[in-house]
Amino acid sequence: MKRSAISMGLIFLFLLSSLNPVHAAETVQSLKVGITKDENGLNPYTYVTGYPGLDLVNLLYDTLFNLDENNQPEPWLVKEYKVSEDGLTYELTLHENIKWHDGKPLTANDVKFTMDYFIKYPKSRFTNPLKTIKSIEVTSETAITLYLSQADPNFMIQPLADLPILPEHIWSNVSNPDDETNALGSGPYILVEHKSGQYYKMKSNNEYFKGAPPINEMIFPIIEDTTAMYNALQAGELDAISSSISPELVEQFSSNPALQVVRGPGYSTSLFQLNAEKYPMTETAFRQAIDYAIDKEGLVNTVLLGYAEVGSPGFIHPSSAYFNSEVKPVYDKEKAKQILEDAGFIDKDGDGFREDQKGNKIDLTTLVYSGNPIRIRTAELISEALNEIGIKNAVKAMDSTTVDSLMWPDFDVSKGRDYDLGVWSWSNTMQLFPDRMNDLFHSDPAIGSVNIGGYKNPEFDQMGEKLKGTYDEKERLSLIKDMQAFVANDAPIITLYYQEIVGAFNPAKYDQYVFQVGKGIINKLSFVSSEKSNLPGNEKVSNDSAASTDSKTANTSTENEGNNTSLYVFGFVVLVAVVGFVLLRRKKKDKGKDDFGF
Amino acid sequence: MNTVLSVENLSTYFKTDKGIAKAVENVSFSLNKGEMLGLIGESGCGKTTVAQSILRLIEYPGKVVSGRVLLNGRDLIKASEKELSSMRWKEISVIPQSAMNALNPIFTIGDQIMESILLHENVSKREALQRTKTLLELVGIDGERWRSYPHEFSGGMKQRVAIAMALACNPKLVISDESTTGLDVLTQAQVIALIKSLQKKMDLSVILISHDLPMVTAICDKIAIMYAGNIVEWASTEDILKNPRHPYSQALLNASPDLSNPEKEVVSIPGSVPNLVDFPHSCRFHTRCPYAYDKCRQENPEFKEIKKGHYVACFLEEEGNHG
Amino acid sequence: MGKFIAGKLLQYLIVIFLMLTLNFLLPRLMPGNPLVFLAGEDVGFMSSAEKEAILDKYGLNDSILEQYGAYIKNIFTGDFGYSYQQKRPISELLMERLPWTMLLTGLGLVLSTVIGVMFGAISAWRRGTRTDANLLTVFMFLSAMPSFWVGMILVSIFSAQLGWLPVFGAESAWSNYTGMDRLIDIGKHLILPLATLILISVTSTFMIMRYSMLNVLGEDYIMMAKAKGVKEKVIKYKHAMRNALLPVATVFMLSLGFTLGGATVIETVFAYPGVGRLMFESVLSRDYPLIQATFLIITFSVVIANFLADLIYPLLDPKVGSRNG
Repeated sequence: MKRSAISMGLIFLFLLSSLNPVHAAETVQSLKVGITKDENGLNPYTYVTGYPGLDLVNLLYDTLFNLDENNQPEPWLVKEYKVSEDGLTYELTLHENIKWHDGKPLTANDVKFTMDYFIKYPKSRFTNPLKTIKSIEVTSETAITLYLSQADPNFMIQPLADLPILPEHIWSNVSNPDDETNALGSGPYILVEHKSGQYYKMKSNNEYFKGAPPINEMIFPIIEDTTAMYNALQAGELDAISSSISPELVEQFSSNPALQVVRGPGYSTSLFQLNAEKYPMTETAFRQAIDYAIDKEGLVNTVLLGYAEVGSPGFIHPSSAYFNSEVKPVYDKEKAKQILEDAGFIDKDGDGFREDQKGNKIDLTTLVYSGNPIRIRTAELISEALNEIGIKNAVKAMDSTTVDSLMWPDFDVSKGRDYDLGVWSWSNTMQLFPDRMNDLFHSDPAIGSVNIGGYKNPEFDQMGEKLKGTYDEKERLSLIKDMQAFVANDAPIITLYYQEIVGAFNPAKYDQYVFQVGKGIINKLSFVSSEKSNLPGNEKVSNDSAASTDSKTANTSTENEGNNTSLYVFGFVVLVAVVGFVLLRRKKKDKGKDDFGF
Repeated sequence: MNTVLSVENLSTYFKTDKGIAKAVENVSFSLNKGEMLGLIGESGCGKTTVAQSILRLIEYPGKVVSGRVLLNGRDLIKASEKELSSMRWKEISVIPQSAMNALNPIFTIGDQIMESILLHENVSKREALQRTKTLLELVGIDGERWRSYPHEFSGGMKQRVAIAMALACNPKLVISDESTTGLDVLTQAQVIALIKSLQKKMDLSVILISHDLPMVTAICDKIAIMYAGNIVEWASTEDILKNPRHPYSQALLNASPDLSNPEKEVVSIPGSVPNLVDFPHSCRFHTRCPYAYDKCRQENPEFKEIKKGHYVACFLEEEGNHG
Repeated sequence: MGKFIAGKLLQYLIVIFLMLTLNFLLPRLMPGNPLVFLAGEDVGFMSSAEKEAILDKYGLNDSILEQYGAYIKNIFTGDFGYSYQQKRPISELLMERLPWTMLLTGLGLVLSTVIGVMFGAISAWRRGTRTDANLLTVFMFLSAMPSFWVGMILVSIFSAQLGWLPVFGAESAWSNYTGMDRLIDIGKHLILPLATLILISVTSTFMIMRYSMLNVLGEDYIMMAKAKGVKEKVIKYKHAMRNALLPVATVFMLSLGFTLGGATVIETVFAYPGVGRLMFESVLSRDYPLIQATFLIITFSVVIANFLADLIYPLLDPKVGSRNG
């Protein structure tokens, strides 16, 4: 009786466990995560890409604060902190016993040194945010106070949650940081090997102050071709990849029972960029008409297969605390035509395309990077839409360097521009700070450093300047919302969509990934030991899988068949071809010589 | 009987896109030991095809469809590959048309001659080389030049090399296929004289294929005249010169200039060689023959012996009509 | 002979000089500059002064003539410089990639030549038969397939589905195999890219060989060999083959020069670390030193191959080269 109860219990438990997705072992021996570019020396001066390059740097180094999965700064190296009411003083206390990879202790001196160093040897991403610091005072081994010259609402994010801390005892001897290859930091992983163009190898830092990381060895193979990377993941040669899966392939990955797919909001912002310096894009009505002509929802469904969120015309992502929900995307072809008619853009000569207000022909070109099929498709659809409302235009796809040289020569907006329209996209950092609105639309090149449309509107400039001087959160919020409404109406750019990030990994190897909104699963939080909440996309997927676990086996077999059918068909065709070849050869070989008929 | 070669009713057809070309039809002749037969005809009349048929070199899309070729009693047409390869060069060899291309450019002439010797005779390389040098001397070339490549020789010298090669295994029968075509007159004369002298010296039987009637009449014992795949007349050189029976033979003689009689009018033969594809049953020459009558248009005349050793294929013989 | 070589050398030197100049000019004629690669992704947030400083550092603000001068000087001192993109000495970069390139494209050239010659000869010998027709069909089909398509199909079947062969790379770099294990690992990684390369390049050799062999078979000296009683096999392999190989040999030697250029598409599909992909990337990123270095290597390699061809050809074909008789 007892025995059968125990065995029943065991069987029950066994069944229960088989219903849940398999959980990986506590410590993973080795994890292979694919990246697409060689990142040079993985230190803050020499990394190449913001993602995943900087994230790899952050595995080797630490920042004072760290952005959590919702991009909110949480203390990291810092144990306690205090910010003055006026926002001009930051008192920070570090954890004790933090060690560099070579065993030396990390102290407040290293922090001061780092900040001074970046001022001395500029690296814009890290240097610019430091410029508001007036002075730095080290008050003890682990305590430091920063005095700012003016309040900076984003100070916690940049530099505090962004600046990797350098070891003074190494970098004080470095006068050529751009050529420096050492990557000795305090982070959870230690760089063991870098084979250029091939891979990076890191091992876990078991002395890490937050506890030994869950993965003993991380290998980052460099696979430049995304298709090869997808194949490698499918074949099990990689355990996770840094690239997002493109929409048309998500199905294939989801149906692979060995992989898990997670999706979440991305912050990369795709937009239709207008050269507001060039007529007729100088005319507000013209721009507004373009806004009305583009079916953003249609783009999301057609080009992105639903794996994107419709762009807010105010630019700022809906997940932001500063998002203005009153501002809604528009789409009305008839209204677009009406706006153009009323503004004097009329088709007088009957060729189907409108002339401008002076009666001259309009013929515009939309530029787009040639290496990106999604962007190209977007450009094509927009081009069609514009042609339909009577604005003659064509798409020109060219390599990224050439397009850059036309739209943003020398990456300096003060150098002018040479284009009409373009499909453009900003990376996720643009969404981290609402103050970026200034960078995007202010007419002064010193402020509007990424105003690549040359947009000039004194009313907006005023708002922007006001924002710079405002520190009160409530005021900032209201001002930023106003700016969004303004931009939505004046349409210097047309925000199209925010493409979702779809990550994929092999859960059997490791599944403690954290999806950082706007970034994905390859980030510091995924690879350190800490309390983790469930992966957001995980809910979705595991719900599906929980509901259909029983049918899962049925599904898997059909899917497996799906995967294998093509193989069988191919093999069959080859077999038929070979057999046919051999048979025909045998038969005709003799006939060939005697084929006379006499 | 000292018949070396007997060709009986040899026919060779070629398959073409337009139909079957009867390149050689019912050809019969024979050759005695020590004799030189001249096989004469216009370009494209089938002379080379006859030679290739005899040597069993005809390949798809051509085929020897009927006939026998008896070489010292053995039928070459029915012989197996093995028998053939033992007979080739030892019994019967060929001096090819345009030795220019008949010598492999990447091997020395010595290698090529030695190859033929070593293939058929069980001798050492040194011996073969010795024989090669001797052969070269025989044809008037310095024996040490065995090391040279074909392109290092002039046309005439290449021809001599070809002759030397043809004689390498002491064959009984040599077919000289237009061996002097393309050479200048003086060199021609040299080569012909060489062939003649070698024939006498080695007691060879030779078939001399050419379109040059005067040259052939100068050195051949017998002459066979071909037209459009048929032999129209076959007789001793004397008989041909004195008493040509076939209209074509007569026309040929008229068409050849005579150095001894520079005043003689050279008359060309009107018309051209007929298309050999699906040739209707008629005399092949009838369209150009000044004496053609109805029978000529309906049937192909038989090749008959009209006098001892004199064969003709012409209806005129039967009727007794003659010009 | 000495005069001959000297004359040829001079010719080649002129060619090289012209190529070097073109090498220098062409990349700089493209719009855009390598700033974004030199400065990193956040280049947009840099001040003008910073950007200028970077351009100055790499000599990109010097006049064209100054840059050209530096370029020529560096060639003579053998200084390839640093790659803008990868921030490493180019000589190091090339040292890493060249061996893999030679392995892949060199082996590919040799094997595809051997296979093309074999089947081309067979096809010619059996002209008019079904074998010939079938071979022609197969090879025509092969030549129509785009390289990336072939590569991807092979990868998705043999790597992704069946898991028999690895998906990417030249070897499992982080596994630290040694000796025989390493050789096997490299071999496994080599199979698919090599197979792809052979499949797409074998047809040209096949066609040349077939045509050449047909030509040779029609020659009188082949008929002579038959008349002489030479065995068919000997005719095929000794008499015909050596003559027919001449055009193939020429093409082979010329292609040899280009092997150092890698096979860009195949390297991309298989993530094989060769020079082809490197060149491609260098052009896209306006990495002038790297563009110059890689093109230089190919230029030299082609010129040398041509030179070798000039020297070797007379040995193969006695008709060429000798001035006497």
